[in-house]
Amino acid sequence: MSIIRTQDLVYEYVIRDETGAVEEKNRALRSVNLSVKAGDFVAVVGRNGSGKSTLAKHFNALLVPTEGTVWIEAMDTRDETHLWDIRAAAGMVFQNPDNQIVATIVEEDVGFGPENIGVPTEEIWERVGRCLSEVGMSAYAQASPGRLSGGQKQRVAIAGVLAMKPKCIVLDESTAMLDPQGRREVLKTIRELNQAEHITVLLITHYMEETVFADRVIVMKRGEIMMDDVPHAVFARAEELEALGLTLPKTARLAQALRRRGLDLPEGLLTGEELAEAVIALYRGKETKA
Amino acid sequence: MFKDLTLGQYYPVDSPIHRLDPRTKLLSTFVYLVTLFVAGNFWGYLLAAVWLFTLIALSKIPLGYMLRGLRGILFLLLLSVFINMLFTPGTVVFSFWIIRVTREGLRQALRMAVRLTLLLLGSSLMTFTTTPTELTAGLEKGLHFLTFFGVPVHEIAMMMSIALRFLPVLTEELDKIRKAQMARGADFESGNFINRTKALIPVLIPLFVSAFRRAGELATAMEARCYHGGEGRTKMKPLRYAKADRIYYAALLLYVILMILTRTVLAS
Repeated sequence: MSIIRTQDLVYEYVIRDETGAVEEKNRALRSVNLSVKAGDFVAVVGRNGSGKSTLAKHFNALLVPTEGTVWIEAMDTRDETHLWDIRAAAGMVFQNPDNQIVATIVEEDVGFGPENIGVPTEEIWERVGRCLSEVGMSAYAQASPGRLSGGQKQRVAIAGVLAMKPKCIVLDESTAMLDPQGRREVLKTIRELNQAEHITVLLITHYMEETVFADRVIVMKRGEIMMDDVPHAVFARAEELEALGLTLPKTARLAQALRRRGLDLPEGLLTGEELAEAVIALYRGKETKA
Repeated sequence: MFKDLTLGQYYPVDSPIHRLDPRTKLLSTFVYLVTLFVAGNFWGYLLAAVWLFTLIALSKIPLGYMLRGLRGILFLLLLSVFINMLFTPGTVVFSFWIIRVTREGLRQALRMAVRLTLLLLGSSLMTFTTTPTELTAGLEKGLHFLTFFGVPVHEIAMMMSIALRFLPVLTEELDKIRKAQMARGADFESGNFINRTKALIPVLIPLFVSAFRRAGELATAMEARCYHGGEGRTKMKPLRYAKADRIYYAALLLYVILMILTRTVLAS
């Protein structure tokens, strides 16, 4: 069953002058057709201006389509009667960790979402405790957000979304402002949530290496989907990706360079282990021949 | 900039006063401030002082720490003492050049000093024993009745708590912008008062721009987490009166009755 579905989705940013007359229309999404299966880990990559963030904001009904339709669990995002159900079902984590934490104490911030949807007090406490431990932040329940690192703040933000019991989490470039350590923390957390809790994850990013563990990679350019496949297949199209301004992860680039030098490696090697095994297999093969 | 502001900073210890419901502390502080203006004679001020120092003792906050909070307003205190001393007409005790000190003036000045000290200690006792979050929650619930008069109590409380949340964030940002402008040759130290104030403009404008950007992003994030005002909202930490609060209210009532007695029975 698909949890997110879009049909011929078009979105235009309208720029108006002082009198309110339309000055310019900027088409950020052009006919996007997409369907995400429940429990999947989907990565959406693209350069600045590819429309990936605009797409993400449609899944939470922060934006509604100019043309076409978006369904979250069969609810049309244009239907205002379902607005809060949609926002509780598809939680969103944003880019700047500071500008999405509302409360002055970590546990209160995690409780903010459940408070808004009217969850009884005892259940809020139960959810807050569980979600903080799921993201590994239980020790900081009483801490002030100002004292946390960027990665920790984003994990608190993820816990805040989790506390609303979403079916799906959309991360809108949530790793872009973090240091490598923080990025690893956040990615590890969402992978665990995806695997253990079967929460659908939509990871919007411009780092190709973050898409390695996804079930599916969607590459966008100028508001259109250019590629939509498993990571191996997407990475195999290295020239096309580079033409789109996307750089391959280091491992994939190394494999590509080795292949150019004449090593007979298979296409679409993603992780260090895969590459190492392929190289070892190659040498074993040579030894047996000789 | 906010670092040396000791007046009204939370002092984290566990005491019966810290554990009181914030509404109790808010109301009692308000009542106490009113009684300071009801008190008209020596007995009244003595009673107010006894009440206040009993509470301070119960709150486990070192007296020295509390008094240090007064340093910030020392100038104001002395100014009001001098004005009262010099400009109250009456029997002259002492005169020099154009200065005349009168008996009534001295009495008035002393009264003013005692009243201001008690007032400031009393209100800082509340902020020393209550976290800003508790205070906001207390205000929201305690003043909830004002919604019937069209006052957006929940929204005001939410604004206050967000302001508190972003105070350290913006302070840090202010510092960063200052340093960035200094690296570009801005001079904040030299020149007279007007020049130094002018030098702040290139700091304040980027700060405001950034504050608006943050506000926009925060509003989106709050909406994404289903925030839609106070309606239908539950509380993670609801306020409930406990036995200690009832005892405290009883004591407060006794204090008010005694205060009225000092005005009527002991009135000279």
